[in-house]
Amino acid sequence: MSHEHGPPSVPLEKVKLIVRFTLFICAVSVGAELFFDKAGHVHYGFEQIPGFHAAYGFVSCVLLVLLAAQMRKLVLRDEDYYDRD
Amino acid sequence: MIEQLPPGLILILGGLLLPLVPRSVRKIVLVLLPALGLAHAAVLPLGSSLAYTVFDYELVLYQVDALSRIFGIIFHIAALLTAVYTLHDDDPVQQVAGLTYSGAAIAAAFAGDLITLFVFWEATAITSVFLIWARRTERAYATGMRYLVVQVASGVLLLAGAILYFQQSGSLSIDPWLADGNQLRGMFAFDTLEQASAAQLLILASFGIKAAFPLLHSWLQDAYPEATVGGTVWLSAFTTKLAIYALARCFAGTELLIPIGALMTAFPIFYAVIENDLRKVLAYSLNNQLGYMVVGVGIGTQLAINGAASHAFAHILYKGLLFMGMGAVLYRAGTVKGSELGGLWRQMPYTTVFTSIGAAAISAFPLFSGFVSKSMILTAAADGHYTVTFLVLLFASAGVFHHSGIKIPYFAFFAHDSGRKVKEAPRNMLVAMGVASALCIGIGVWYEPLYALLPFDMDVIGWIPYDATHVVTQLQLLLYSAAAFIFLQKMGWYPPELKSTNVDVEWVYRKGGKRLAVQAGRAVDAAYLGAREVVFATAWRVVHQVKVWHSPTGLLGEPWPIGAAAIAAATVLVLALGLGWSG
Repeated sequence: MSHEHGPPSVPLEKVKLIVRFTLFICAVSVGAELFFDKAGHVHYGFEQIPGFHAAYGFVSCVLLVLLAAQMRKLVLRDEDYYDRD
Repeated sequence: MIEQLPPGLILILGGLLLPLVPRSVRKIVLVLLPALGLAHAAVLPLGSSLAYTVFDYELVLYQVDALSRIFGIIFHIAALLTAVYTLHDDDPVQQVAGLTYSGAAIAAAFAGDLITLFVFWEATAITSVFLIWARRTERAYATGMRYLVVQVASGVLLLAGAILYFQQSGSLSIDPWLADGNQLRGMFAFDTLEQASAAQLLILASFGIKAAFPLLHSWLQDAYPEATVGGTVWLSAFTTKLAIYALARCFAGTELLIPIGALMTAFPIFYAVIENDLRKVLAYSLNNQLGYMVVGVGIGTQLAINGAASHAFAHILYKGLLFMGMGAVLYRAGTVKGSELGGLWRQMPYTTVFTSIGAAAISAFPLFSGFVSKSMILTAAADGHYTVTFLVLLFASAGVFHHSGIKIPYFAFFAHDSGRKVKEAPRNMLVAMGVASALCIGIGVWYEPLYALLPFDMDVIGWIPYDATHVVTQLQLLLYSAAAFIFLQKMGWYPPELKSTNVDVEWVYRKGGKRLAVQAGRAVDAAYLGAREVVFATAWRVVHQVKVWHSPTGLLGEPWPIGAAAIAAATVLVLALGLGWSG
């Protein structure tokens, strides 16, 4: 976690509840595919794979964040970098 | 009468005269002007125009079609909301700058020829820089100068392109699209770079600078976070969207724009993830959103152009709302650095809710504005079989939710308590954010009025945003992005907010260029000193030699006998005679 300068602004029990709720609707959103047919409504064949968008979203974000964190090695400078000569 | 008044003029003239208005009513006038302008732009009939003649050139001050109208209307709405948002701030510099800037952007969007476009294009640059300078710090002054140089350069390129085009074609008018079935082609569209004329490339570069194309983008992330609280909200609405309008108008169907736009959606989000200044995060995310519109323009079908126009419309509202939220935080907490914030939701509950609505809208959640606009562009990309582009846009859509949807509200309002004691935003800010939020939801739920403003009839195109597949797949994409955020936080892999600067292309001119300039200066200095040495030494030797010759014992110092002088004179005469003969 990043903000080490204070206690969590939302009580931990509530955070747990929010996390559980998020994971629950994640499951619901994939389960919902059982009730209709994506064929004919999506553009590509690979989009018809059950849970394709879920997996794509998850993997995209994990890759995005991990790559961005690595990018820091290349681009990170001190806050006053441009103010110094 | 109404048709004699070009759109934008109310704001430009009103803005210039605003300081003369008594202070007690100035705020009323500030809000009244964009409201009047909006009414004017809404009632101007399609097809109306106003021509004028300058030095035998027929110019068109304004012309109204569906594309200029939708941009004109959203620009006015943005001006109105921003005017309300800035009411607490009694700074006439920002009031004049904001009104004239928005007026210039509106006038540019209605311009019927390239010279009129150029004049207002440059006017947006000159008026908007005051929104940065109004911060009145040395840092803001330097940033403003860099911003101004880039913006004016864009205008110069446009003028150069317009002159070349005039030489070739004898015309300055901005022509309508050519249509081939569903496919549109702007007047400057080209198929391959080899076929493009210098005029086309100059104008594309001009538009590309203002649209923040990759490598031409860093003025945006440099300048926007440095402007005043209200200044950034003004800036976020106009310059870049004017460029999108100009691209859509002139370069629709230029395939080169598809990879450019796709790149724009993807690379800024990496910076957005690690950036600490939350207004800069929004500037990167703005760049990413422009990418979708550029892709839409590049595809250039009716659906894609409708997508670009409607996305610009929705984007101006939710991006303005997000900048308003972060502006309120800056105003109250004195900082928008993620590393210094957190836990503000208790003290700024309304700002938290409004910012979260903006976050949901930019993330394109169903029932929010981004959902009914962005997906048109993705569908158009798939229809055109641009599979890689489609996948990049999908990746960027997940990423947007991550950095704008989650990161902005999370680090400002939640996360760990920063211990700051702040007040809720001023009432005028809350009103502006409230109305913007209502519009973000309103457009998402009741999208038909927006669609009615689009250049092409959506019923004829036959596309609707809400079907079960689209809603569920979009929800999956977003919810699993949230799951990824939870996962990364749990694993301790989420990069912390750090006090830092992340170098981008601006390094070239802020560090590399500076270093180059310093080194070049030193080289010139050394060359000058060396040259001076040589010149001085040579001159000294000459003087010395002359002195030696003229000394009493020197060659010229001794008295010459008269006979010698007579012989010398005779020799010269003979030589002259000889030359005369031979001539």
